[in-house]
Amino acid sequence: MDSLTLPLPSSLRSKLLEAGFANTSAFQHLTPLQLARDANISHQEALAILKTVSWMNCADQYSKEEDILSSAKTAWDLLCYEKSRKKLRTCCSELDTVLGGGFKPKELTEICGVPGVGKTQLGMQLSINVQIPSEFGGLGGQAVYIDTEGSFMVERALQMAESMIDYLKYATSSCESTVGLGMSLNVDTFLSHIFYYRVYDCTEQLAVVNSLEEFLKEHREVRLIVIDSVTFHFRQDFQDWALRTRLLNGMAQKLMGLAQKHDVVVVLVNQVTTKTNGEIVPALGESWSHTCTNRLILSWSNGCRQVHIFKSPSLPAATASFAVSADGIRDVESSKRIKLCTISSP
Amino acid sequence: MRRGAAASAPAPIALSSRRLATKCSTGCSVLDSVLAGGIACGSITEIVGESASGKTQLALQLLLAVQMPLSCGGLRGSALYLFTEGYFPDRRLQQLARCFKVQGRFEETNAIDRHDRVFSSKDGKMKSGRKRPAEKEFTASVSPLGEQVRSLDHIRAVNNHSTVVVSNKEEKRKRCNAEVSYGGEQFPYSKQVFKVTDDEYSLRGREFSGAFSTSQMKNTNFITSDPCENIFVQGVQEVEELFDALDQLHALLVRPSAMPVRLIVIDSIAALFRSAFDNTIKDMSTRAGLFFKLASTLKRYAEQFDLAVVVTNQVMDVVEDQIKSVKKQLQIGNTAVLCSSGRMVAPALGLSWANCVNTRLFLVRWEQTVQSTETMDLNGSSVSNGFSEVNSLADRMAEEIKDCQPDLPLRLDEWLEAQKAHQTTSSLENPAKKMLQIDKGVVESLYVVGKNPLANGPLPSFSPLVSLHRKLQVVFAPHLPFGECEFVVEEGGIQGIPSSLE
Repeated sequence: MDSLTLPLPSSLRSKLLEAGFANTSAFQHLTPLQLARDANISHQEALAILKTVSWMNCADQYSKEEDILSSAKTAWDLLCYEKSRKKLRTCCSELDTVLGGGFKPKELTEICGVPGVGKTQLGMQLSINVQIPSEFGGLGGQAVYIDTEGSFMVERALQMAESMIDYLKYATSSCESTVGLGMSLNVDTFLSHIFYYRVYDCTEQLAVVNSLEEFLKEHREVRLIVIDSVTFHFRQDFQDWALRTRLLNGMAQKLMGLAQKHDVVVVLVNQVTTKTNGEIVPALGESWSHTCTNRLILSWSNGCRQVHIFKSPSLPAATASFAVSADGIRDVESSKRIKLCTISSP
Repeated sequence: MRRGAAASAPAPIALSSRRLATKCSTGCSVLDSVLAGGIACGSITEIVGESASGKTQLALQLLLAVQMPLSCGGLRGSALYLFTEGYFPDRRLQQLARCFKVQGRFEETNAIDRHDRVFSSKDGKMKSGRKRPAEKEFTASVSPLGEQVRSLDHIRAVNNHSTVVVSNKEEKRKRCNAEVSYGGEQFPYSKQVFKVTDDEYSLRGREFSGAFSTSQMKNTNFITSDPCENIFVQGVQEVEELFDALDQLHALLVRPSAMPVRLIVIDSIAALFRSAFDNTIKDMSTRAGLFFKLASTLKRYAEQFDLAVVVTNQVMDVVEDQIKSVKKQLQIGNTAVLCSSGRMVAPALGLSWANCVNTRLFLVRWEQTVQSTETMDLNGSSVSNGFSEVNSLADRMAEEIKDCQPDLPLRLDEWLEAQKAHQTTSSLENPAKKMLQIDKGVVESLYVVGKNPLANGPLPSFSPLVSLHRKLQVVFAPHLPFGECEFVVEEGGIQGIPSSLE
C-alpha cells in the first residue's frame, strides 16, 4: 500500500518518501535497524513504522469492515458495521427477538440462573448454532467450550446436533439451490468443531483463557467462546477476596480483548447465590457485575423458563420465555404453555 | 494429577460420538431407562430424599451393580462407600449381594432384561412367604460397635489396607487386637495406623509381599467370589476426615487392579455439614467454600478415572410462608419445592450445594388412602372359606380396579396369613401395579393394607386402605428430561415399575 496512507506523523512519512520508499512493500521486509539507517530516522521510529505496517497488513486479511475500524471511526461507521454483522441466533424466536436478533459478537454476555434452569443447555445450543453455515443465515464458525463443572454431556450435544441437522435438511429440501448443502452435514462434523476444554481449578481456567489468544490466531473460524461456568472454581475458599477480584477482572479484560479483536461471541455462565437477606443475586460479587457487557438472568416463572435482560447497553429490559426440549432450546409452544404452568406434584 | 504435560499450553479435548459418558446401571432396567442408561460417570449425581425414602437402598444396590459386567450395564469395577451416619448397613448389603449372585447378575452370559424376571415368574405367583415386617430389616439398625467391627471385616477387600485409616477412634482401639481374615489369610492388625504411601503398599513395620494376591485378581470366576469383597468401606465423622479419605483415595485409584474403583458413594453428605456449622454468615460462607472444594475434588477424580460419584442428601422442611418466596425465586429444576410424605420439603445444604452437583434425583415417598368400593366386601368369613370365593372376588376386583383404581394394592396370601395369625399388618409395601397381572384362575394378590384391619375378625366393608408409594424423580440433569418412575424396595433390591402397568 502507499506510504502516504499510513497513519503516521507527516514528518515520518516525508522521510520515508525522501528515502525512496513510496510503497510499503519496499521496506516492510527490512529490520528496524536497516530501515532506520536507510531512512535516516531513529530506531524507535523505525520500529513504530514497521509495527504500523504489519498491523495494517493484518487488518487487510480480515473482513472489509476492519478497514473502517483501523483508523479513527465515526459513529456512523460503527452503526453501519453493527447493522451488517451477523448475530448468533438461538432457536427460540422469542429469545432472539428480545436479544435484538441474537447474541452479538465483540461483546461479553453473562448468563445467570439457579441450577437446572437451562444455562448449560443454552451454552450447548449456542455451540451448535454457531456452526450453522452462512448460507442458512448462521455464522458458519466453530466454538470453544470451556467446561469447569463437568456438565457438558456429549450425548446431549449429539442430540442437539442431530435435530439441527434434521432441521437444516428440511429447510434445504424445499429450496432447490441449497439441497446439496444439507447433505454434507453430519453430527461428527458438528462435534469436531466444538473445541472442548475441561479445567479443574482456577489456575487452569486462567491458563486456558490466556492461551486462547494463540488458539484463536490459529483457528480463525472460531466465532464463539463459552465458559461454563466461570464461577465454579472461584468460590472455593479464596482467602484473599481482593486477589479474586483482580483475577476475575483480568480474565474478563482478556476475554473482552479477544472478543473485540477476533470478532467472537463470548458467553459466560454464572451461578447465583443468596444474599444475607435471602435475595438471590448473581455470584462473584459487585465488581463482576460491571465487567460483562450484557447480563441475562434465567429463572422459572409459573413453570416456564424465562430470560430476563437485566443489563444491556443497547437492549431494553425485556423478558422472553423458552423451553428446553429433546431438540434443544426452542420456543414455548402456546399449547404447551398451559401444561407447563401446572406445577407437578406426586 | 493433570492429564497432560503441565508445561505445554492446554489443549482442547476432541469430541466425537465415541466420547459418550459411560453409565453405571442402577441394577433395574426401569430406573435405567429414566436415567438414560444409569448413573453417568464423570459427574456428580445427588440422590435427595427424606429418611426411609430409599436412598441408602439405592446406594447399596449401586455398590453391587457397578460390579456387573459391561454387557449387563455395570462397569466391572469395585466401589468405595463412605458413610457418615455412624453405621454401615452390612446385613442388608449381604442380603442384596446374595440376591444378585443368585440371579446371576455378575455373569457375562446372563445379560437379560431383569425386568422380565421379576414380572413374569413361572407360576405367576409373586415371591411370598416373607413377612412384611421384613422391611424393618432394610432399615439397618445401629449395631453395637463390636459386632460392627466383625461384620465390616467381611466387607473388606483384601487390598483395603490403603484406605482403611480407621477414622472412628473407638473402632481403631477395638480392632487393634482383633484378627481379621483377608480372603483366607490371617493378619493381626498392628497397633499402628495403616497408611499407604504412593510408592509402596505396606504397613509400617510390616511387609506385605503378597499384598497383590487379592482374591479379586485370583478369582476371575466371579461367580464364586464374594461381591462384598469388591466394596471398600470407610466411615467418616467430620469434614476433614472426608477430605483426608479423598486424598488417600488417589493411591487406591492409581493402583492397577482387575477391578478398578469405578464408583464412589458418599452417604450422606448432609450429615457431615448440617451439624458442624452455625447459622452465621461466616460459617455459611466457609461451608459454601468447602462444598466447592469437595465438589471440585470429586469431579476431578470422576473425570480423570472415569468414575461415577453418587452423593446422598437429606431434606429439610419448608415452612408455609417460605414457600411463596421460594417458589418465586429459588425454583430449582421444574418444581419449587418437592413434595414428600405430604409435606413440602427442599434438599438440605442450600443453594450453594445445588450448584455443585451435576444431576439431582429425588426419591419421594407418600401414602395414599384409597376408599374401598362397595364390591370390595371383604368379609372375613367369606374369604376364609376357601379360595374359590376368593378367585371370583379377585376377578371382580381385577375388573373394578382396571377401570377405576389402578393403584390399589392387593395381596391375598399375606392377608390370609396375617389373619390366621391374628396379626395386624402394618403399613406395607405396595407391590403396586403388580396386581394388574392378575390372571383369571390365578390367586395373585388381594393385598389389604390397612390400619388395624384384622385384629379381631372380619374387615369392615368400608375401611380405608393405605398404600405406600415410592417414586424416583429427576429434578435436574444436563442430559435427562424430567422423568420419573415409581419403584418398590424388595428383598432383591429396588425394582422400578414400568409406566405401562399404571
